Amino acid sequence: MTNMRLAYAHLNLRWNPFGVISIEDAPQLAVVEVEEFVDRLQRPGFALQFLGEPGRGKTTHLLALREYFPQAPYLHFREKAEIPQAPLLFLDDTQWLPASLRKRIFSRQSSFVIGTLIDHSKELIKAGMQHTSVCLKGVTVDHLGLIIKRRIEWARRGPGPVPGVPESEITRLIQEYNGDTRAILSRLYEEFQALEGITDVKISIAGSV
Amino acid sequence: MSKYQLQVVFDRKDRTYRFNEEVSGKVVLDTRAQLTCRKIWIDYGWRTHGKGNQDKGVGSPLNLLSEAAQLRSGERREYPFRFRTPSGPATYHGHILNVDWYVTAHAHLDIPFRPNIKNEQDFLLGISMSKDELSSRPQDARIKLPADPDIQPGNPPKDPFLPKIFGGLGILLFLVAFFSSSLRYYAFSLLLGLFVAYLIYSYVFPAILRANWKRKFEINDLRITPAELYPGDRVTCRLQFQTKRKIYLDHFAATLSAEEVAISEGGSDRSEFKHVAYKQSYVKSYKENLIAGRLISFDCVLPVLPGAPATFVSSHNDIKWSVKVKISFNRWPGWEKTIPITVLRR
Repeated sequence: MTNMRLAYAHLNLRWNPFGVISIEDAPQLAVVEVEEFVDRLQRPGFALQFLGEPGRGKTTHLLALREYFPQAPYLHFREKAEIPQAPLLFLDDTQWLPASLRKRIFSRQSSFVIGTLIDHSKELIKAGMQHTSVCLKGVTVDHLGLIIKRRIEWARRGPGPVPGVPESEITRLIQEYNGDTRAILSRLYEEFQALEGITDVKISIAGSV
Repeated sequence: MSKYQLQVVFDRKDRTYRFNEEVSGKVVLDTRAQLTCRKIWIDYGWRTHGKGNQDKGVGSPLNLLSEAAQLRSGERREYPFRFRTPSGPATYHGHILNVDWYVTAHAHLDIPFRPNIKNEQDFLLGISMSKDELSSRPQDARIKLPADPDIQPGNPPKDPFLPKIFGGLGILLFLVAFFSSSLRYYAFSLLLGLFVAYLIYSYVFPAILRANWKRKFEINDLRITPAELYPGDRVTCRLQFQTKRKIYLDHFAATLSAEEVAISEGGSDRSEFKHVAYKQSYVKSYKENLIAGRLISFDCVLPVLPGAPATFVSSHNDIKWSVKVKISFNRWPGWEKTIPITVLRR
């Protein structure tokens, strides 16, 4: 057999921190504040919708909140899904559902945590539900810095130094990708793939000096 | 250090194992406080990581401690384990796809709030080489290069592209002009023109190409053998066709490739990523006008280097092998066919 090293051992990591994370790891890596909604969601008749463009963290918020309600079904509507009866439902990508089906769901005696590209406020009011909308827009340097740090620690192989992303580079990434977290993490995946040793990432942006 | 620490330690320092080989090691539990350990067990399995959603396979758990044990402060206990490695999948470290094996130790302690602790360590199983290692490796002596001296390794020339652009633009302009004159709604005409141009480009043009090929030649034989092989083996590609009309033959090309495919589904996004992990191309240049009735054969041998990754198929992550055969003519886009093959692990 060939003499091969353990994955990312040269970076003191076990995997690329910016690869796709599993649904089990998502809550521990999420940098979100959702505790304030937990109490209200324990009673029926309340809907919390996370609104935002793709890559802004809607699913991350849903999964982080679901940590408090592990029994609650999480349904993602890119595929056709049966909608079970439950006191609390996590519904992701509800913009794919026909309005008539959404109307039937919202008329149930349940609470909902919703991830959506389009605002369902009117439908929720019509259904007689109390609701709160959280608009997810962009990301700050501090917030993204925390996400990056948490990801790198999660991938850490052992004690000692690991590669980092300086604040100046985080600022450049936010500008370049207009705050699209998913696109930024995807870019960092490639940057970490290219690292040959433990060093800080230096982002080269097309057209910049 | 916390009050207790769990660690998986392999007996073999390089943590590298063959298929169906015994893996042995120990789970070490260190404590800095008196406690009761209810249970210790390990499980082992493979997992993908990279740009696709995680796929995994888990073996049966092995119990190392079933009865409660009292540990004094500062005590260290070791629990040996051994198991036989399964016969796949092999460890693979690529660009967008990695497959790794892990042993995870779990302990259930008699402590409040966080009674379950775990430690996970990776090991290498029946490994394949990375792309860098493959490209830096000299050709294996067992692999003979193609006997035909006219068949040379190298990337095949691209199809002529300009005719496609001019053709597409021409169709579009014609359609826009046609609909504009009759309907006088320019934005609508442009959209309609684009749609019709798309239909022509995607369906009509390929149909014309197929008809053109059918008129000009006939494939008598196309064989890729074997359909299943091992790293270090060779794929033989045989293509034979007969011309029906006069035709200008530019070149033949055969490309053996392995492609990492990773599908990421998260939130409102579904993305498919592809990365070429292995590629060997051979080209035979003709640049010759052929008369009708000529029988042309192209035989080529493509090596799968030792250590090349095996075919891997899971829900969101694949390594796909294929052979693409292409006949290129003057001016027209070439005829091509891609045939999947399977590379088994040694």
